[in-house]
Amino acid sequence: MTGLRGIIVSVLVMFAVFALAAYAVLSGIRAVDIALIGFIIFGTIIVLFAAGVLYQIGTGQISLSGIISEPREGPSDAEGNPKASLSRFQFLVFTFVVAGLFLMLSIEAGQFVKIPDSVLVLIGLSGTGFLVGKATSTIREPETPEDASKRKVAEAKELRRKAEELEAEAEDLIEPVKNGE
Amino acid sequence: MIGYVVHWFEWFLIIWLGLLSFLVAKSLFKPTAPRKGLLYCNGADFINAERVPLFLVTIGFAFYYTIQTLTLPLSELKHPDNGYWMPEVPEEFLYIFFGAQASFITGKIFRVFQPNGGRQ
Repeated sequence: MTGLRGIIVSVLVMFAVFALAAYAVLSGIRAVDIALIGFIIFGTIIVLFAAGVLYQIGTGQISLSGIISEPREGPSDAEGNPKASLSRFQFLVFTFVVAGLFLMLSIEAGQFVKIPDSVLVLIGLSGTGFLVGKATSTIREPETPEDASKRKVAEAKELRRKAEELEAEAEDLIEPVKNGE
Repeated sequence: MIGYVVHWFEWFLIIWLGLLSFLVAKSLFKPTAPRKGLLYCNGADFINAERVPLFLVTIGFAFYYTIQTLTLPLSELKHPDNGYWMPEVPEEFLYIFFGAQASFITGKIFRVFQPNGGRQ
C-alpha cells in the first residue's frame, strides 16, 4: 500500500513538473525567472533539510555524545566509556574554523574565495592524523599468552576487590538486623 | 529579486552554522562528554607528552586564524588578478604543526607494537 502511494505521489510530482515546464515554455518565461524559481525550490529543500538536521540535534534524535569519542570497541576509561580522541577534536575544530571563515568571506566578497595551499596542507595533515588514529585503534598486535595471563590475573584481582567491597556492604546491612534493631 | 533571495539564504546559512557550532560546543561541555581523555594516553590515567603540544597548536591555530581573518580588511585579501584568497598560514607555524602531528602519530604507531599498548 505504501509502495502504491509512493508511485502515485511520484507520478503526480512528475506531472506537476512537466505542467510547470510546459506553462513556462508557452508563456515565454525569461531565463532569469527560471533561475530564480529554481533557486527558490532548491534553496527551500536545502533550508528544510538543514533545519531538520538542526531540529533533530536539538531534540536529541541525532546524538552528538560521541562526536569526539573513540569508537565503542576502542580504548575506554575505568567505567567503560570511550575516551576522547584528540585527532577527532582537531579535525572538528579545523573544519569549523575553515568552513565558517570560508562561508563568511565568500558572502562578504560576493564570490567563492580561494583556499591557499598552506591551509589545505594543514587540513590534510589533520586528516592524516585522524586516519592513523582510526587505523591504530582497530589494528592491534595479537595478545601474547603471557600478556593474556597477566590481563586475566589483573581482572581476577579486580573482581576479588569488588566482591570484598560488596561483602563488606552486605555485612553492614545485615548487622543491624542480627542485633534486632 | 534574485539578489534579495540569495541575501536571505546567506543569512540562513550563517545562522545555521552558528546554531550548529553552539549545539556541538554544548555537547562538548556536558558533564558526560569525554573531555578528560583528550590529553591522556589510550587506556592510561596520565597525561601524554605528545598530546599536549598538538592540543596547544590546534587551539592556537583556531584562535590565530579566526582573529587574523576577522581583523583583516577584505581589500587585503584581494589578489590583483586572481580574485579573493583566504589568509595564508605562516610557514613557521606549519613546521611547528607538522612536528607536533608527527610526534603524536609516531607515538600512536609505536604503542600499537608494544605489549599492553605501551602502558606500564
